[in-house]
Order: sequence, then structure tokens, then C-alpha cells
Amino acid sequence: MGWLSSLAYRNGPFLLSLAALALLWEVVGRSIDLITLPPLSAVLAAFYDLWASGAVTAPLLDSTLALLYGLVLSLAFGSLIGIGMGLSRFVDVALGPYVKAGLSAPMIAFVPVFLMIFGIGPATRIATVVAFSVFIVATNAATAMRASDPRLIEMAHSFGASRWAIFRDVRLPAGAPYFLAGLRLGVARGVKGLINGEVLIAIIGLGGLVKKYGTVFSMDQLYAVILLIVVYAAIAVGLVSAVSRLLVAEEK
Amino acid sequence: MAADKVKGGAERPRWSLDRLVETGLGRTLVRIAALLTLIGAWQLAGNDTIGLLFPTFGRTLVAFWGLVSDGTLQVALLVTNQTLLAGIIVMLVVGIPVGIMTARVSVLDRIVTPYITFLVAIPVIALIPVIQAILGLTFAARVTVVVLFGIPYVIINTAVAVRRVDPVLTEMATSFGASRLVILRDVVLPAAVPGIMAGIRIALGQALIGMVVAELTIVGAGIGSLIADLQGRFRVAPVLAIAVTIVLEGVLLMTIVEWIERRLGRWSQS
Amino acid sequence: MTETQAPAISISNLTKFYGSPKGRRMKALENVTLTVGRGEFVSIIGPSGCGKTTMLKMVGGILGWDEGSIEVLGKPVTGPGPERATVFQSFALLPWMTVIDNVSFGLKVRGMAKPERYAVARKLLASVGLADFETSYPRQLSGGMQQRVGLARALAVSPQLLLMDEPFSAIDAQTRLILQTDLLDIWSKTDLSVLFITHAMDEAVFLSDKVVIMGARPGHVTDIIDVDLPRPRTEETRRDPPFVELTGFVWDRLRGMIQQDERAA
Repeated sequence: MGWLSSLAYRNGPFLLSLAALALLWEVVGRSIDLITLPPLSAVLAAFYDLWASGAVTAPLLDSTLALLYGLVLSLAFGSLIGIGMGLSRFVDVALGPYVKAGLSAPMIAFVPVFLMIFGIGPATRIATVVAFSVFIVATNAATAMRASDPRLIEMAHSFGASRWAIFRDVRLPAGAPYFLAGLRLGVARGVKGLINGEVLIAIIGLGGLVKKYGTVFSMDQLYAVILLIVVYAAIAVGLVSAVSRLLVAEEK
Repeated sequence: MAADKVKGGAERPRWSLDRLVETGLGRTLVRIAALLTLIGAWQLAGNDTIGLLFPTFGRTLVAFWGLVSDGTLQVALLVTNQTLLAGIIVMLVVGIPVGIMTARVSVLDRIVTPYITFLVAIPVIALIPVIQAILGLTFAARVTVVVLFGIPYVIINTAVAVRRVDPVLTEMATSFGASRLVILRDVVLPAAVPGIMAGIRIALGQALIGMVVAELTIVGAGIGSLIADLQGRFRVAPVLAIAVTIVLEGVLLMTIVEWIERRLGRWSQS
Repeated sequence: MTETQAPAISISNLTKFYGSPKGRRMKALENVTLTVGRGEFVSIIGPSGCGKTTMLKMVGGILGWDEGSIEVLGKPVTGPGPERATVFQSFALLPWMTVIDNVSFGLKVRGMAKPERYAVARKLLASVGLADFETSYPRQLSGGMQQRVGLARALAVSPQLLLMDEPFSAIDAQTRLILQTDLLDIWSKTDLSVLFITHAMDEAVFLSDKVVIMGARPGHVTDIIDVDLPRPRTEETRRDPPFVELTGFVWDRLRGMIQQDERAA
């Protein structure tokens, strides 16, 4: 019984505040007749309906496919650029500033551009995923290359190893943890890119939130969709962490 | 690839291009060449004939000039940056004290941490309809979005920085008779500054994303409305020009913050 | 007729437990009794875990105890006080402050105004040989120099009792010997009492009037040795047979304890 009470002690204050918020949402939603703020119960009902009707499966599949394509592209190009940067000071000086810019600046600003060029199709989503994740993959790949002990490389040279053999036998193993980290971070950012992109596309693609009222969705359905997106994101991120922990464990 | 004889060491083949970047002048030249190459590629990859395809560098530049010459872009940027500035101020004024208190008061930690973890885990963009429902299409709503994007990082990093202060330093101050308040002000806070600045840097990156998202969804008088208008008229080049401008502004702001971070944290670099 | 003064430190039957009240109560220190007279320099030496640093913290007023009493200058210890100052093993300098700000830290906490603080700090910096480093930062100084700053900071508040927690352990062997002589030099010009914790036998014997040897598990006093070597002590003293003998004796006692521990483990 001791662990139960300590669990309650630790999470108690938070759970209480959460319950209070849920209650507030319900009460406010019912009392204020705002079209824009339905009560929690209505949202949960719409959420259940969405699932039961199967209306969400196809879009979910489309989005996940776009995510995967985008990630593969990011991993491929990002690794190429990153390895180039790590191996050659010349490439690092030439491309470094752009990778750094892509990493720190709000790439989401390009979503309207992608939308206009590619329309509301998978290409926009893929482009967004790539824009969000390629730079971190590149940065980590570069670090991975720089992680090898220069003395080991010198030693390999002295035994007559070719550049490729050195890359395969010294640099890759030494850089593996950084590559994995880049993979993990790239996937996390890619998921963020997908989600942010999807919601943004939904909102601006259909002409803005204001226009949406009362035409395509009712508000509680909209909230239910949002709730769905949140759950999707949580599951995706959770999956990524679990898989990466497995990968890292295998490494050891 | 030329193999270079290094004095006294093993012979190592080196990329001969690498030698170009060993001097400051060489680096500058390489950077300019890279920029020109990228612009050239942009120009070639673009298409000026059909309106809705990827515009060339030239067309984008012309569009940019068009927006700047009558001040449209500047006005929009000014309005948008007000949102960013207000958001940053709130993030710092609220986030830093909350972070400090979370590190020192256990009950507060248990209440606040789950909400922060939630904000970090979910795509905050999903909360926008709720924010708009409560606050309307207002400046306050946009600022709230910016704050929600960045404040978790301020709080988390501040709390971590405060917790990681070397306990020997607080012990030393106690041994000289300093009160808890004096220790907080003269030992804990200065020691935590590098960590807090790192948090601010990360939060700024997020706040920039929040700013763009807020502008595009809760449309006001800033770049969001400008983009919406241009979208309606199917003019890709100006929208691209605006996107590049925002990215450049982001890079500029992040560089400034990184510089401040380095200067304030000089004493912690060995 | 000299009036009897209370000793600098008077520890009686001191016992301290580790661990929570409900958990297994292990004794960190058991029934320790120890005195440091006015103007005396006393070292405590012992293997790791014998509680010497814990005792220093308790005398300094930043750690509590369970049984027994600690009195400093005749008054029971209830917390830190202006008559005591500590010098730390890891120097504990504030890295964002200049040397002079660090030295005047204790005075700042006590509310002294800047010009006066700086005047006191300057004098002390001169006495530890760092007059030219006023505006440097700790990271620009070597370990030995940083500890001099630590010492200056402690002396700046004009304490009557100096508590030194292995102050020279983190410093290289050569600089350490120099700092030992400099410490004695500075101490001889004051009437400070000193409680000095160390791992090094030669250091304990060289510096002190009395060497207290402690054993571990639980911490307790095993020997108190009077060091009769004449003062001032110099590099010559290190070669004198009595010094070598005493140092050898201390080492024999310590080694015995350590080997006993290893056999028991």
C-alpha cells in the first residue's frame, strides 16, 4: 500500500489540477453558448464517432506514408551532406552556414510556399517533413564523422588502408552513436514537421479557420480531429523513443 | 588528391581543396562561391514561365523589391515582430521565476512539470483553435501562441540550471553567514545564467516557429495577412520572398542570442 | 595572572548518525572528544570515511549532530558565525567574479561598503602575494593561486578560528610545499587558531602543534600526537630526524588502520 500512497502523493497535485481544468471546460462549454467552445463531453463523443466511422484511417495512412518518404529523403540527403561536411573542411565552410541556418530558423515559413507550388497533396507534406528534419540529420552526421580519433586513422593509414576501408572500419563505428542520435532527432523533428504541416495545411489550405466554422466541420468535430492529431503525435513520438532505445540497447 | 608529407608523421593524403579554407581569405572566397553557386542553381531550377511553379532567384528578387519599395513588407514585419517581442517578454518575465521556483519548491515542481512535459510533447499548433475560441482573432491570442511554444524551454532549462549550481558554492556562502535570499541573488542566480541563456536560445527558436504559425492561423495585420492575400492572388514569388526574409530574420536573431549567450557565459568556459 | 580563556574548539562526546531516522542508523562519528587551544594549529588526519570533513562542517555550523557538544570560544555552535572562516578543498571561488571581489565576498555579505572592503582585500592580496592579480578571474589562475585567494577571503573577515578542509589536496606536490610554508608564515603573524584536515602525514606534522589521528567505521579518535618541533618551521625542518620520525610514526598508525580495513573487507 505504501507505493500507492507515494504515487498519489507525487501525482496528486497535478491530477487534481487536471480534473479541475476538465471540469471547467465542461461547465464553461455548457453555460456559454459559444459555437467555438463546445463542452468536453461533446468533443469526446465526436472523437468516438470519428474512430467508429473509419473516416480517419485513410488520411492517417496517407500522412504516415508522407512522413516515411520524407524521413527517408532526409536521412539520405542529410547523411550525404553531413558526411561531406565532417570529412572535408572545404565542404564544411561552404555548406555549414546553410545547414546551421536551416537548423535554427523557422522552416515552417515555407509551408505556404510548398502549398502554393505542390497543392494539397502528399508532396507538400513530404517537403515539410524534409525541411524540418534534414538539417539536424546533417549536423549529427557531420559530428559523427568528426568523432573518430585521428590517431586511429593515422594508424590505419600506416598499415596501408584505403580511404574507403578507413571510412568503413574506423569512422563508421566511431560515429555510430551520433548517427543514431541524428536519426532519433531527425524522426522526432520529422513528426513535428508532419503534424505542424498537416494542421497548418488544413487551416490555411481551406482558407483559414474563420471560413471553416459551420461549413465543413462543426466545432466539436474539429476539436475531435485536433485531439486525434495530438494522440497521433504522442504515439508516434512514443514509438520513436521506444524503437531508438531498442536500437541503442542492441548497439551495446 | 595530393599526398602531403607531414614533418615526422605518417604520410596522409589530404583533400587538396581543404587547403583553400585554411586562411581567412580562402574561407571568405569559398563562402562567396558557395552562395553564388546556390543562387545559380536556384535560378536554373526555377521556372519563370508558368506562374505557380517554383520561381527563379531573379523573379523572387523582383518580387521582394516590389514588396519593399512600397513599404508593405516592412509594415507587416513590424506588426509581426511586435507579437514576437511581446511573447519573448512574457516568456522571460513568467518563465524564469517559475523555473527558479520549480527548482526550489517541491510541490510546485510536481504541479508544473506535467504541464510542461505536455506542452513539449504535443504539437502546440493543435491548441490553436482552443486559443482562438477563448481569445478571438487578437494580438493576445497570437502572443499566447508564441508563449506556449517557447516557455516550456525557459522553465525547464532555468530549473535545471538552478539545480546544477555547485553545492560547494552555496556551502561557502552559508559559511560566511549569507542568508538564503543573499545566496539566491549572489550565488545561485549568477551561477545559473549560462544555463538560463541556453534555455532562452532554444526557446527563441521555438518562439519564432510559434510566431509564424500564429501569423498564418490567427490572421492579423502582419505577414500572415500579407501571405493570405498573395495566396489568394496566386503569387508564389512574393510569398517565397517573404519566407526567405523570415528565415533570414530568424538566423539573425539566433545569431544575436548566441553571441549574448557566449559573452554572458564566458566565465564558465575553461 | 593569565585569565583562563575558553579553548578555540571544545568537542565533547560527539556522536553523529547517517541515514534517515527510520532507516538503518549507521554511526558516522562516535564519542569524539577533541580540543583546540587558543592560537593552536591542530591537524586531523585519517583514512577516507573517518568523518574528518563532517567534523569540520559541524564546527563550522553548517551541519548538525546527534549527541554531545561543540563549543567554539566558549559558546555552543548553533550556526555559522563571524569568528570562524573556512577554506575549501575545491577553492569554492565564484567564477564570475574577479579576484578582489572574491576576496571581499565575506565582507560584502556582512554589509561592509565597497571602498572599505576593497581596502581590506588589497592588503590581504598583498600578504598572499597576489597584489597584481586583483582584476583577474579565477579561471586565469593556477590552482595554488586560487587557493591563496581562498585563504585571503577567509582572512578578510578577521576570524579567530580558521577551518581548513584539505585545502592543498587539489594542488600539485611542489606548489603544495610552498603553500605550507606560506601558510605558517601568515599564521605566525596572527593569533588565529587553526583546525586543518589533511590526508598527507608530512603536511600534518610540518604544520601543526598537534596531530589527531582518526579511524573509520565509525569515526573515532585513535591518537593525539604532540608535535614538539621548534618554530619557525622551514625547509630544513623537513630533513630533521625528529620530523622524519614523527611522520613515520603517523604513517605507521595510518597504514595499520588501512591494512586492517582491507583484511576485514
